[in-house]
Amino acid sequence: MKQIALQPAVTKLATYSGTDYVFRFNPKEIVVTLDVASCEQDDLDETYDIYITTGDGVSSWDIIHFPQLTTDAAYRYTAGVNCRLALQNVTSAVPGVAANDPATFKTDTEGAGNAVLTLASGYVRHGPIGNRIGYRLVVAGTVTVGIVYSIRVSMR
Amino acid sequence: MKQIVLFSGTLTVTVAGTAYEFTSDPEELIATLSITSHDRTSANETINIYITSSDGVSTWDIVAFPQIATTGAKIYTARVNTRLLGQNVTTATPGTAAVDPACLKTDTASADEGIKTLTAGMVRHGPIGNRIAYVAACAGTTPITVCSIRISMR
Repeated sequence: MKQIALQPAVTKLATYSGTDYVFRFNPKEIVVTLDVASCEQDDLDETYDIYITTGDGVSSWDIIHFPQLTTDAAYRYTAGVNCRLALQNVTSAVPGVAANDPATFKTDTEGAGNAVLTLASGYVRHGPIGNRIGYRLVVAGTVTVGIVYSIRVSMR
Repeated sequence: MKQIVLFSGTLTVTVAGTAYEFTSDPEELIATLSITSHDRTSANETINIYITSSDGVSTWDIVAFPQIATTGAKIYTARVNTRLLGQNVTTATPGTAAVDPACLKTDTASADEGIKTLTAGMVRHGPIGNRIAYVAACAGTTPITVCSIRISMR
């Protein structure tokens, strides 16, 4: 199993786009762990959303949207993406709820259609992925200290 | 099929075993728990054995063998298929499957989807990390369990 630090431990105070990692082989299964050491909440209006994205060099779409962070604490979330399954999205409810994805994604406009920043919080999208993986951090509210986090990707 | 002995010996206290790091990328695991003996001198001794997976940062249960609460030899085998949608299956007959939460919250043991949260008898299919380990949770007055755990992978 190959592992990469998609994002080594870092502090961010604003919305950020991570650098894509281009796969050197064709993974069929990806495990992503978001490890949050802290996230500022002193104004009680700060929110942090982290999306894991994939793409083919032209089009990009979300494959994971970790649960939105709204409380200052340490968090660790792990999500698995199985590329061999039918295209479907699964919620983080207990139990999870699976639903078929649209067959064709409209990805031209960020935050619209099926482009990046559209997968609902806590969801994972299974099915084919592109030749790269990246991430987006969306920060909102009155942020002065920010979020301390890292992201590990394991693939086989 | 590669096989390892994850544990062999006597368990008397709650313990987390050393993780075995895969040297291949298995898509199917078979875990067999063989109980040679389990002490019930005070009639309150129990042991719960979990098989866990990890990516080096996060750790989660993939098997929770049925709780051992009687004397006598027993063998349990659980199978984990990484090619399936993340889901958990009970040991009822027939087993009942439920889709797992898409994001496993693993920061705290015994809470949410951290280790020691899978219900006794359940197996979790879906993606695993690059290592496997066991956790034994012993309870009661004089818990003494002689057992072994074998893992087969392909």
